[in-house]
Amino acid sequence: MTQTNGSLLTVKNLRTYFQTEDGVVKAVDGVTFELEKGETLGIVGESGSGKSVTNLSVMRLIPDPPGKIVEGEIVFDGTDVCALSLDEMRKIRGKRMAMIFQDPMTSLNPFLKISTQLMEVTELHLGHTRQQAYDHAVKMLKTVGIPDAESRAGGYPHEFSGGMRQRVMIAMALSCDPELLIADEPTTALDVTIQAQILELIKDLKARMGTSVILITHDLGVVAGMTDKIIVMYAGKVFEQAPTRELFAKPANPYTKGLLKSVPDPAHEQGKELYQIPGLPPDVAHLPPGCPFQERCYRVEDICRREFPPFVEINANHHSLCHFAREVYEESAMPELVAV
Amino acid sequence: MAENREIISGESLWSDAWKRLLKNKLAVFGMVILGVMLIAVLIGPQILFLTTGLTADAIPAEGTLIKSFPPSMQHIFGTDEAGRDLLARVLQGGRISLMVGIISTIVSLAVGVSYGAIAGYLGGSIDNVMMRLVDIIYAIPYILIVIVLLKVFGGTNTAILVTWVPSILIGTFLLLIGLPAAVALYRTAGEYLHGRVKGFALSLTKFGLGLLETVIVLAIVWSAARFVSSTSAGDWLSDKYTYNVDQSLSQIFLLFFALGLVSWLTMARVVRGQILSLKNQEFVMAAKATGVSTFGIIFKHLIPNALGPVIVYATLTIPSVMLTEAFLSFLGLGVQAPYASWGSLASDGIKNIAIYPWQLIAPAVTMALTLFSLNFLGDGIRDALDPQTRKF
Repeated sequence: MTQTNGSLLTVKNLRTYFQTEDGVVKAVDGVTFELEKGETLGIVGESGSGKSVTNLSVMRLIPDPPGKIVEGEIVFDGTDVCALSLDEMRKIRGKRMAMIFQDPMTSLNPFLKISTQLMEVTELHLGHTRQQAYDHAVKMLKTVGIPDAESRAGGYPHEFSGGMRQRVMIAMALSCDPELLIADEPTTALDVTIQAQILELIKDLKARMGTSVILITHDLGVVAGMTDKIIVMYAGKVFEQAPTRELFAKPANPYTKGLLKSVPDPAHEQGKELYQIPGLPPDVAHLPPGCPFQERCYRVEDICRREFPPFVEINANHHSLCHFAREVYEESAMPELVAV
Repeated sequence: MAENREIISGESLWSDAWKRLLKNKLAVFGMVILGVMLIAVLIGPQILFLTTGLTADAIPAEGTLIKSFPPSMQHIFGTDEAGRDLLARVLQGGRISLMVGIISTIVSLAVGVSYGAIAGYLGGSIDNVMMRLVDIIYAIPYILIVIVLLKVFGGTNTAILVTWVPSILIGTFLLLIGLPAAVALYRTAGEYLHGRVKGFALSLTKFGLGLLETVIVLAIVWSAARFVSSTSAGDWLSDKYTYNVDQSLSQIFLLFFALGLVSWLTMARVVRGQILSLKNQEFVMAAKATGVSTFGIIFKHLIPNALGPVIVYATLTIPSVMLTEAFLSFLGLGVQAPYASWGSLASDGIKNIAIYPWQLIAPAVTMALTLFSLNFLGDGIRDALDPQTRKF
């Protein structure tokens, strides 16, 4: 079970393609990352950058057809996930890796009681009897901070607020004490105060249960306080990978810089336009030759239009997909240039 | 929506809909009539027999030449041509009519819901094949199917049905369950052996297993074929059947079968449509992500969500099936004497409509009342389950 390097999840060169009438959509194209036990990984990117597909691939939940994992290796705690049969996969899902979804309004079954939905998980994976499962469900509801858990357990999803439902989802995901928790934009549909509460809850439970977490988001503020390292994705590719602190301090990729600059500053002058990365994310079915970010990049040169950029190693933990990764990294180190 | 009240147990969408249903006067009226009708039909004949001694098929031995009496204190609905009490016959006929309606609807529910849900959830080519099959059956006028079924298997031929259906069922069961089971067994054995036996021994065991597999498969196919062709199971049943069951009763069961066979089609389509719109919702993905099997997702998560339209459609299927039954009995194809249904009673009554109108009026009014109630109730349930579509 325990490996020497302590790595829980290793994804190598993952390629997930979708066969559409418009051609092959390379939703995830050569993604590589590693997650240590007890670590939190943030995956950041715009809509359609392949964040969710990466994680659905890890759970083997890609709708097939049209989607398919064409290449790559996903090793979860020493077992190759891609080689497992569907039955074996089902035993892992929910028990050893669990997922929280974006919209708590729709991710609970509206016709089943909260307790029934929570009980289903442990009856399935831990072989609980009804009574055991019910007790466990109530215990989990208490753990995630639902007041008056005994009487709320008999309620239906529509009697819960958005934040409460997300708490229920977290309770459900953590019922079997999974080793890996994938949170797919867990706070996007919630308002800011609830967001903070939910993030605090995830952080707290992670520390208590020792779960590894993958946090998908497009909100840089969310990942900043939560994660140990961050992956920035764009057009199905990993653009930059670095420890959180370093990524915020010294980004080595023009795209990451753009993202960081797009975060509105509270001290922002009124009337002045907010920064945005020009243009739109490219159509992943028809990528131009060269760098996928070329159209929107502030320092694009001829080589960017001709050649696909290399994955430059800045240091052992910091990689960036750019022809000028080192230059961008150096620029970032100089504070006066960052401000520009 | 939420007053300041203590939530003790959850308010399900069902109990919410129930409250809305109770506000609908017509639906409540329908429910009451239906309840009274059900009780009357269930215990009415017994009570009538105990209080007045009248039964549905007691023909008075002596009496006048004309035996049709108008309604009186003794015969509340009058009597029919043979002098049998019409009230008793209407109550007795109601049993058959309601039974046909309810059983056929249950058949159509069971078949239609599972069929539609499986087609809708699995999608792709499976969905395509399954729904084209429905289209094909749909294309044949259903009344034609029912009439052909009743004619081919009706009367003395019912024996064929009783012998063939079980044999074919056992045959398909063997093919559908036995075969995959054998294959699964072989696979597990193969997987088990894979890590343990090596080299020549492995190929030998594989060969042995393959041989065993072939033998099992052949045995299953052979016995399935035998069951279908020689009706070795059916012979025994048919003997029992010919001696013990009377023809008219079997005709009624045939009617259940025939009506159930044609009424599941729309149900399958309704359910498939619902499932299609539900299966891409996030809670299905969430259920998948917690490791629920396909079977569990279809039957535990999707079908309860699709149940609203299904219930509405089912309450509206009961009257339509009852109407079809009445129509067939009216034509003389359905329920045979000595059993009666509202349809066959009306059919008997129409012959004498000019002289003894009560013979038609009694079953016709009873039936109309029941059908109205069912339709009101169905409409009420639809409005209760889907408050947006309610029109005032």
